[in-house]
Amino acid sequence: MSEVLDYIDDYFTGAMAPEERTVFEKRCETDQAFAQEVAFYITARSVIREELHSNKQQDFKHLKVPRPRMRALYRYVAAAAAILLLVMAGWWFSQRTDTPQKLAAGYIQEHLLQISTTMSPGADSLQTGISAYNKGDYPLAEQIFQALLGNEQLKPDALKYLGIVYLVTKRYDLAIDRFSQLTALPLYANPGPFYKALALLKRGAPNDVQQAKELLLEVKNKQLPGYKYATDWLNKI
Amino acid sequence: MIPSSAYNGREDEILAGLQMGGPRRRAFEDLLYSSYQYLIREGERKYQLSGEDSASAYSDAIISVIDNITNSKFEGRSSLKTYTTQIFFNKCVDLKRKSTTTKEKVHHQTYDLDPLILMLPDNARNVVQQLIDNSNRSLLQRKLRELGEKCRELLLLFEDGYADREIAAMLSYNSADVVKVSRRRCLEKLKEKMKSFKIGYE
Repeated sequence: MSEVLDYIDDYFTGAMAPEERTVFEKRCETDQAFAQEVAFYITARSVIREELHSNKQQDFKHLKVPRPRMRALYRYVAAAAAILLLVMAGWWFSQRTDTPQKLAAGYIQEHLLQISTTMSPGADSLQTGISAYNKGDYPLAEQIFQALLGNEQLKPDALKYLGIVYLVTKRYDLAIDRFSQLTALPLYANPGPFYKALALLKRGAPNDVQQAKELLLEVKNKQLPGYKYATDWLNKI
Repeated sequence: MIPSSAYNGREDEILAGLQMGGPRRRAFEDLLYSSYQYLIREGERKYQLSGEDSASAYSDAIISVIDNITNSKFEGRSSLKTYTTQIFFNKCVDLKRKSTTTKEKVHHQTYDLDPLILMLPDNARNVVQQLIDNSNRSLLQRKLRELGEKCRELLLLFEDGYADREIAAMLSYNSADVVKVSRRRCLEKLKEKMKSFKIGYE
């Protein structure tokens, strides 16, 4: 019996010469009992292989355990990175959309907190208003400029300074209104459009930037007061 | 990102480790398994398999890849990654078919055509095929477990494609010939155990 098994094993492990193999194969066809042995051999090895594979599957399952945790960790890291990226993008974007407002704020900070008092030496009450303004007494300055609106000659300056008071005290709607009135006046070099654009940029309501751009373009094209800034800002906004 | 050359280096390492054989082969099998584990999720996504099914298809695929590499059937025409992915997707399709075809539910236990029987020429194969009795398998499986640790280990290592001399080194046998004789004796023992149950083998 054992010899038969050795013989079969030789065939399937490739330890047989070609002519012997042919004899082996012929015997499978003609010898039923022998074929039965071969069938057993094949089934047995197939069962062993199955066992082997299921053992390996089990072993691999143990390997698999730490992996999902790692993947979960990766997912958290990826999520955190994505959130960080969004926040950074948001910050960058908000910085970017802030730019027109920042430009306006920078201008106000630099040029409007102190007004030169030598502008119109004749008009005393105008000077009083300006000095009140420069001291930071905005309510008093507002009162004085308000009162000066009735004086036709001083009206353009009064409107301008009143608008500036409103602008500095962040009452943009009023500021825009005053600068609009100023714009409507028939002046040779009207600073109204530039200041109005400034107030619009500072207010930053929807459509304000667009409107400001149009005004700045007008300032630039007509070379009205502030056109240098207008030109510069139009490139940045 | 890791440069692709790093992957190739790892692939070469795995291939060499598997082909080298010996007791260190297991470590490279594990490395192979770990290397493409992300495919399990891909199987879930692409073929709508459950996590468990996809994982089982994946380890099946890895086992096939190992078999093919150790039997020198992997010719290196594609990268190991591509090769593994291909085999894995095929396994997924098989599994998907099995779970969706109602026919398959009737004949639940189907066995792939055994690679050994494919070694026989057509006529001999037909004769032997008819004699293979799959209803015997669970009994055979039980008897295999009753064989004793040494025999089982020997048979499993051999089936895993280790050469007799490698097994001799791993299980401390004196020589490859002793391994061969012992292995055949174990098969013989298995047959004896089956005989008492099955008169057909007389």
